[in-house]
Amino acid sequence: MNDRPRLLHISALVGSSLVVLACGILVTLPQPVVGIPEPSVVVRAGIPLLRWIANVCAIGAVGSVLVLVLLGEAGRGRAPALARRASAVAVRAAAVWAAAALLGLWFNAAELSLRQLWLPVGGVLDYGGNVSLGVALLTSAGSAGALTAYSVARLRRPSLPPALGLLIALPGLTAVSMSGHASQGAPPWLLMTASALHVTGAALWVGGLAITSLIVSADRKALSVVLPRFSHVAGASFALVGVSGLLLAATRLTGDVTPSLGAAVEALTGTGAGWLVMGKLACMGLLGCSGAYIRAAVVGRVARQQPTPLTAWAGLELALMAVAVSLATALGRPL
Amino acid sequence: MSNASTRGSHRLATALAATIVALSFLTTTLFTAPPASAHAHLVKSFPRAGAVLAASPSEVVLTFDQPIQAFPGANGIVVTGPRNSHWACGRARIDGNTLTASMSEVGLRGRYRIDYRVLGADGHPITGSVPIRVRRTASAASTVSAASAATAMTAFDVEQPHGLAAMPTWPWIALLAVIAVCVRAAGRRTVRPTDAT
Repeated sequence: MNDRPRLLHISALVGSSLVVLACGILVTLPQPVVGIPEPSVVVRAGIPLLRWIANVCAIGAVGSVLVLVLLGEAGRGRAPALARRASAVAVRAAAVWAAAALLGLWFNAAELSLRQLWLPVGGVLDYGGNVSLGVALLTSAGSAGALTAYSVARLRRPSLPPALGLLIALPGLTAVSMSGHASQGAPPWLLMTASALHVTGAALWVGGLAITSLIVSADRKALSVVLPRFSHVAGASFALVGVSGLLLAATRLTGDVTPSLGAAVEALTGTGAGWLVMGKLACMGLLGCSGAYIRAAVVGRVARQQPTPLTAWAGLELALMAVAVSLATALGRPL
Repeated sequence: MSNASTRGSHRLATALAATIVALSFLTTTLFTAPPASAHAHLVKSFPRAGAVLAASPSEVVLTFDQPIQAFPGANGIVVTGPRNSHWACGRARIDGNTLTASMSEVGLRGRYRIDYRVLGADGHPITGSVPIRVRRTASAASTVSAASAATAMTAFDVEQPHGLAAMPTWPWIALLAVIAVCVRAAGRRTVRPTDAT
């Protein structure tokens, strides 16, 4: 893919994702309570936006590391320019992720403070040390910072194993979602594990596909190595994200791990959160179909280094994923 | 050949953009349901919602379905009365799932609203309000006076840090940004020579 269509492609993805995020937030906005101090517009808009930026950059960073792992040592040796490019993306994405998590800490503390963004730095530290979401955001920022440092080190010494980067990213990836609604459900250990698996699976799947189709696809030889391997990761992630997502959505909407069909349908259609979940279910269904098609018709041809419509299908999948990630960001808010 | 492939990718990009716009609209039209209630919520209150009281209560007790997290300024209540008058409350005390605040005697009879905000254990602030009615004007109405909105906010537990911690946050953010830029510049300078090899 040359540069102009790629730019168009990426801006269409970002734009649509932000549009869906804004819609999800606007329609599920709680009624203001007159007597309570309202956070300023900057804080109210900034919190979901920073969360979205952190999510997208975390996905990009994890995807780049995953692609480096899938390339294998031999693959990285054969395509050093490509490996370098993926490492550079990991550095940038992880750095922005760390910054967005730190700014998110400030904005989330400001939301509660009567002094808003002018709150003293002691207040932000207090929030980071004592409030569950604050601890999670600090963990996330620390993990992202460590991943940035490790990725920089890998740029200088490419012999360092990229898989270690996935381990470094894991706590940061899962902390925020584990501290949220899941921590208060019943049973908390099951829901917290499910939410950790859900975000990890989603990040590997979305990030891996994004980096494969936007960066690796330029090198047909490397693609023939990466795509068949990624196909297995995508299949496993699909199952993981689906199962954990159903479990989380059921408890979130009905308060019951195994709700009756009637209760589930009522919760899905009766609440704003239910509609967001239906949107995610629709995305999963479509992704399942397109994924099955790619597996059946594209992966084999790519492995034989023949021309394929991979970019088109990956683009469609990424568009669906962008919508799903935005819905997830809206759903993670205090609805 | 390259011309055709460029045209192909343009067509592809257009098709993608169309799909995305269609999807965005589809999702928007789906969002016509009322806001969800899948979050932490008030399970019990004293006085209960809609209560008609002979005199103003001396204490407000709100019980939620999950523990409340302490953070300065996060938890509190504000009482608003007839003609938008505000009534001072004591500092909110937190004990597990309950928030308790003392309430000063209110003035005129009529409808009052106890507005609250608490920080739930899932990290999300929850706001809401409990409407009550007070039947009788306070006996010594002349001595009871409405507080300003700012005084009413003192019910929110505001703490003042001292020393360095009292500095605003943005200079620290700016400092971090400057350090990041410097580290990056230094990194570039040291990477460049090895880059060429």
